[in-house]
Amino acid sequence: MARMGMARMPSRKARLLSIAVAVLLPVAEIGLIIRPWPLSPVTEAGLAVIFLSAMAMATAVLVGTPGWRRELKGALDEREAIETAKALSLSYRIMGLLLLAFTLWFALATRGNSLGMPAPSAMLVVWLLINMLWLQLILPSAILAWRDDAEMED
Amino acid sequence: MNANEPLGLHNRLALFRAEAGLSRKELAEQVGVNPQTIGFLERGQYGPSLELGLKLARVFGVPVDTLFSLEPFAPLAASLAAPRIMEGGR
Repeated sequence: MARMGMARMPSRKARLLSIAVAVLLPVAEIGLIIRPWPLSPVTEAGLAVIFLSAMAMATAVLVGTPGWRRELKGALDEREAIETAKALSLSYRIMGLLLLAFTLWFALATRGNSLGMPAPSAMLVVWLLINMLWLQLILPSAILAWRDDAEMED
Repeated sequence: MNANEPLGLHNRLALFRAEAGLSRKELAEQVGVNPQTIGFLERGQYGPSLELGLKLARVFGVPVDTLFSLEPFAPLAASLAAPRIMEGGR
């Protein structure tokens, strides 16, 4: 079997690194946000090292596994290609829900008047989030509409 | 239900592979897939494309409907016993 493309990270290693990223990244970020002021240099450096390690692991998973990584034709067999498409589709839906939740939270958190409208300073960000959300929702239908053969429907 | 989750597609891949003395890796190499995919096929967790089904049938030199079926295959023991029963249990 002719397998082309970049070397792939073993699934077990990708699972372990993904779990490590999911644990270490929030630890470092929350630690740096809620740190008592002034923080000792050693603690601050430790949190920074944890953050950078988590980012390095995330990059290794991103580069070493199919997903966002663009595979050469023939590098994935038919089942792997379907599984990759399913994973991307699920990720897309999850990101859409997260974007919706963040947009609602941000719009409510920046209310600036009695009508509940966002404060003028936050309005631009709220509009940007709303536009991104609509774009996120409409893109799959738009892409499919352009890929399908419209002539065949007549 | 996704496109390639088998809707009642049955196969005798494991049986033919064992009889041919092939490992999953060897069979995978012959049809150009990952060895894990052979495992998914044998467990009925993945329905192959027509192209892959035909390639697998070609490896074993049988028609594709000998390897895959929409109906469950009879157990091997029942298949072997059937001619004897027909001959009067000899």
